Amino acid sequence: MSQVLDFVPIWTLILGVAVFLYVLLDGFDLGVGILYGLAPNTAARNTIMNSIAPIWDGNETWLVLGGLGLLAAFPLAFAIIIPAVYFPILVMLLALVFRGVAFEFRFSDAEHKTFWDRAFNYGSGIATFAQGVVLGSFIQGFQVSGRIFSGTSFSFLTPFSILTGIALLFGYGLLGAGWLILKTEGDLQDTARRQGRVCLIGVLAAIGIVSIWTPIMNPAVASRWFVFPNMLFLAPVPVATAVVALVTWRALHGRSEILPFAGGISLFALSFAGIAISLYPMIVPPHFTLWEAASSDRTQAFLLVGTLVLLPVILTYSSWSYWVFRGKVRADIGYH
Amino acid sequence: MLSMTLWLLTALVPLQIFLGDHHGLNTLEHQPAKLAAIEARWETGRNVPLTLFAIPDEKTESNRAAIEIPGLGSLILTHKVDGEIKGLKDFPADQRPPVAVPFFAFRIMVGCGMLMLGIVLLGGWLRWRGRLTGTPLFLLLCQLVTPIGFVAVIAGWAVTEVGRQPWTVYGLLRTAASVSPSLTGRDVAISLLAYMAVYLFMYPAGLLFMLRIVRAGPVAAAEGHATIEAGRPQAPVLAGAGIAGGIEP
Repeated sequence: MSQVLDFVPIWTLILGVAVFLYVLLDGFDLGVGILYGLAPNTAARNTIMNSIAPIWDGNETWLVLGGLGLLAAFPLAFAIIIPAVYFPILVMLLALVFRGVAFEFRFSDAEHKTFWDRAFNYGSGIATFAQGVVLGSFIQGFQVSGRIFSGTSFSFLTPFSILTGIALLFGYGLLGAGWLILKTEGDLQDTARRQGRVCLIGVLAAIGIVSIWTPIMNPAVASRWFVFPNMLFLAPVPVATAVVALVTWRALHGRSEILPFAGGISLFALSFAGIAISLYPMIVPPHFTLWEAASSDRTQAFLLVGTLVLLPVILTYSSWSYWVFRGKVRADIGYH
Repeated sequence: MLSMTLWLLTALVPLQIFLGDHHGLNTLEHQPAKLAAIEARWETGRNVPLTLFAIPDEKTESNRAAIEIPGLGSLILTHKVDGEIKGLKDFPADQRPPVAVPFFAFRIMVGCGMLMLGIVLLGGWLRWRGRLTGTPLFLLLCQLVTPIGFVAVIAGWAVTEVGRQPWTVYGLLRTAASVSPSLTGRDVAISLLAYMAVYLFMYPAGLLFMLRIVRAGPVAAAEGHATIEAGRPQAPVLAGAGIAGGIEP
């Protein structure tokens, strides 16, 4: 087959969008789960859970698309990365099991409310931490010899990956607080604003530390950011981050109900862009590029046909469910 | 609900048997070693019998205590009286799947299917006589066979996955060659135990809740959904409490 079209950029875009949407969407509902543990009483817990009950499982669609997209479009990357983060992924999945069934069991099992409340809270937190560890391992890069991962199943455990695990708790917490500000009123909203401020401080500290640590750890990243004229072209990223942080901080103190959430999303977008700029074109840093890890053109073309049919369907039903359940939630009216 | 389910099964059970038969033809063509293991057939032959029961012995490459129906094997598997079935001895010993698991799991799966067919026929006959809901023994039978759908699916899964061994990609990549090199036996043991622990906890918990809903009966459930406000169903918190018998904080 002659090379008419390079599918790698298309698949990079699809995978990037899927991962980013997953991080944003499941990010805010995991964040809501983290903040759930701080809710003062049953009524508040009901409201908080009802705010995400109709949409959380749809959000996890993107995790499936991201994982299978990596497997099918970039099989070499999948074969190296997944064994390298075997245990964080395992822990994440088991935590998501507890968190997922808590939605159902909590309502069916009125006697054991506290147990399933904890399952929801800790499940969300542990899943988030595990995802942060995966992110940290990815940024740090993998030990590879030939075409296989040459570390052990515990190589993921480093100070850096633990830092990114904690960072993501604050990050998802910020998104969750933004969502609760959007969806709730009164005391609950005020609490979410306070929690959002704490999380924002944590997020900014994490962004700062990671931005210093990564270039020190990886000279290739340093030479990408701190060399003229790149510095000039890339300067908008840190500048925009500072501006967004300031706007979000003020919005958390002010009356806007949409700005804190939008600010959180923007901070994630900027961090995502920062990571992409640092690592591109590596998919298995620092060993394999997107092109080296890609499946054959014919495989990628075949997959694209199905994906292009399904993506609009997923986007349509997801948006539809957000539209149906728009507006403020209350403890006594809801759906799950 | 009973009537609706039986109508559905009247269509689906024969369809599943038809599909299963065609799946068998497909396996005969593409994975003959799996088919030989399912049938515990050691020698290649035409006009082979259908083995209802046997104890396959991989060491002596033969079956003990076999109960067979002459000629039926070829007819069912190839749709021809003298159709040829390849025996396991035609495959090198290191390219044969384990025999006992596919053999027995397949019989469990088909047994469940036949049981379902029997219930559909019995239910149809009772319906025709106007005694569908008035036969307690039949209703009890329906209750008792609730899990066989799961049993059939899991048995079928065992047939297809064990029967495809030793290949991950049939004929190209052996299972032993597709293991992640970094994963040790200890890693796999830890993760398997973790999965088992979680599932052993979750499934009984879920079963307990389902039983509680069943015991509360259909009346309470109907009341639970009575209030509809602003076009949305009632809060799950309250609906759930209704089902659980009004226990609420």
